[in-house]
Amino acid sequence: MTAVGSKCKVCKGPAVIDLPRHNAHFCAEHLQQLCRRQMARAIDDFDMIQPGDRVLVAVSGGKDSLAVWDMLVEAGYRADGLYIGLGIGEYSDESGGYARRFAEERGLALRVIDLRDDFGYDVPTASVATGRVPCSACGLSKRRLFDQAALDEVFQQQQNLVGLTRPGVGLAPAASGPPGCCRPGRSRATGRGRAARTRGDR
Amino acid sequence: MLRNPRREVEVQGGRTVNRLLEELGLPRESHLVICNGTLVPGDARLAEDDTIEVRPVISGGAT
Repeated sequence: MTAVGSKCKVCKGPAVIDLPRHNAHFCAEHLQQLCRRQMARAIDDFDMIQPGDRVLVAVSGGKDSLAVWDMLVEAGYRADGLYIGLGIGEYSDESGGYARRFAEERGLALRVIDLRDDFGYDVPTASVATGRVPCSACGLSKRRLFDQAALDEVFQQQQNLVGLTRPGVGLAPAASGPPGCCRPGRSRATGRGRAARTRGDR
Repeated sequence: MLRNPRREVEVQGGRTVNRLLEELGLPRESHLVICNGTLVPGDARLAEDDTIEVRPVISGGAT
């Protein structure tokens, strides 16, 4: 490759990417700066989470979700990962490998749920059994398990805090789910156990 | 190498990233181009022996 002519909009150094939406080029450093700023703005605009909150980040093992997890940790959030093994052949094996290595290299906690091991089915078999397209079986499973995992973590946090309560130690910030919703999970938890924040729990 | 679905094609060098994507029929705004392990902008000119990876911006996983 020969040298490129485009320059970073911020530092005028060699650019690595052009973003037509911004009508601008960025070097690696300032591309990351842009991403961090946009993430912070989105969190603020949608009133999603507060600094210091515990966050459970659902990761696929792809570049997008792992980048979000990385940026959340860098921004100071106490963010654990949640990976769901969907049983989609080599795709799931490879994705799970990326997620595990990412967590291990950074000393982060990754909770792993495997559809086949923990619930006795995978996305291809669920698709056939329900007559739904694979994307539908996948989406239904993930939404249910994301919510359940968040509630499980909150439940665990509340139990821990009840045992630790003493003057000056509050029960917040764990969220409380509807009565009867916080059944102990069947999934395997790896690393540190932490509570998750769900929308509307403040 | 192209991702989602994964496949490999050989193309001639001496053209820009934008031109390469155009020839492959891939929209520039929705694809990242990595040349020899480094992200490159649209006006980067590719050489004959470069290894190029083209990734969709939204992958939906690790592949």
